Amino acid sequence: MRRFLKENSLSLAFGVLFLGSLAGQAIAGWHQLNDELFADGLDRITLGGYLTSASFAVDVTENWQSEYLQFLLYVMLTVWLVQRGSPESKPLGDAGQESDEKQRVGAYARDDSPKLARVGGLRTALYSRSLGITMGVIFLLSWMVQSVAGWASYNEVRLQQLRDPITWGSYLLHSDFWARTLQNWQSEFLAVGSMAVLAIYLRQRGSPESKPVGSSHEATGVEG
Amino acid sequence: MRWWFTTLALLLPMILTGCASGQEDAVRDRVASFHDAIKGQDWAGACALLAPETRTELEAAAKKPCSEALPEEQLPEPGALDRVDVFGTMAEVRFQGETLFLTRFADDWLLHAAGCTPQPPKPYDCALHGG
Repeated sequence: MRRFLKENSLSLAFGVLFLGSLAGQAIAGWHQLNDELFADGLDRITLGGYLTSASFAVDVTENWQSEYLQFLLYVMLTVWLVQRGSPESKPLGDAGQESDEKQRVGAYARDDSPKLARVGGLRTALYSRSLGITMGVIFLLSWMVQSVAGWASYNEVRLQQLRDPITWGSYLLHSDFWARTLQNWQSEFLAVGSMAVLAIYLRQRGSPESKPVGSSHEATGVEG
Repeated sequence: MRWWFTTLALLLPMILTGCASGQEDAVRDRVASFHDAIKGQDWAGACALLAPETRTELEAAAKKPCSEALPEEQLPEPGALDRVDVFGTMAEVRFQGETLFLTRFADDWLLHAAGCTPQPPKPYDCALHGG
């Protein structure tokens, strides 16, 4: 048990942080919404009502979609694009999908390679892209849920303002949908881009996300 | 992870729209009760169907109890039912000639605004409304 905790401490720590943050968001968001409802002379809702509301769903999924988009783009763009001096980049000459030998697929698979890397054909082709595909699917699904929940939440506000609701199709072109979407995208792109650049010159001793402290600023694709 | 998210993505829209469709009958019934009370001049009964803020606004504006102020509002006679929309804690019922807005209080739907006429692109102009 102790060994399991130690060997999986990174994912477990993030799992705990995620659940704690989500619970905190639920409580804070519930109080925030009730404060707005009270100010408008409307009835407050229960925590259970808030957790199943479109308001909570859109606030959660607008962040999820942007995080998965960030990792989708990072996984995909780092296949082809490089950054001189960054540990986040491959070596400058390695841009592209690389050879089967280097990727250890098909005939070049080793004894400990996953079975799907060895079998060849469509299964190996799909497995070779499974990380990007999974990130992409989660991104699209969470963005879709954001659009539906955001539509319902926005229409609830419109009714409070004595205005007619709009259709889901209209909402997809509406500023509320794109403001929620783009405010998340811009922060993700900034964080990833700045990480790739700052890691050229700055170091974090012991972190695999950083180059070794004594590594040259010119060294590319070197992780500590 | 993927199956869980797919399930969530498929279920959430169904939950949101399914719950709304389940509430439409309750909203429609509540509006029918309000119209019946107005038509039967049961002013106390009609006032009981108003949201607290709406009732307070009416009494403050008229400086009278609700049951005395409501008859003076001369709410329009509704035509045929056009459509019902429910989103979360709010609902809109459109008749030809009148639109009403309702809000959910606990498990009950109460009138947030009544006697509303459209004035696009501005919000509806309502004879009765709270907030």
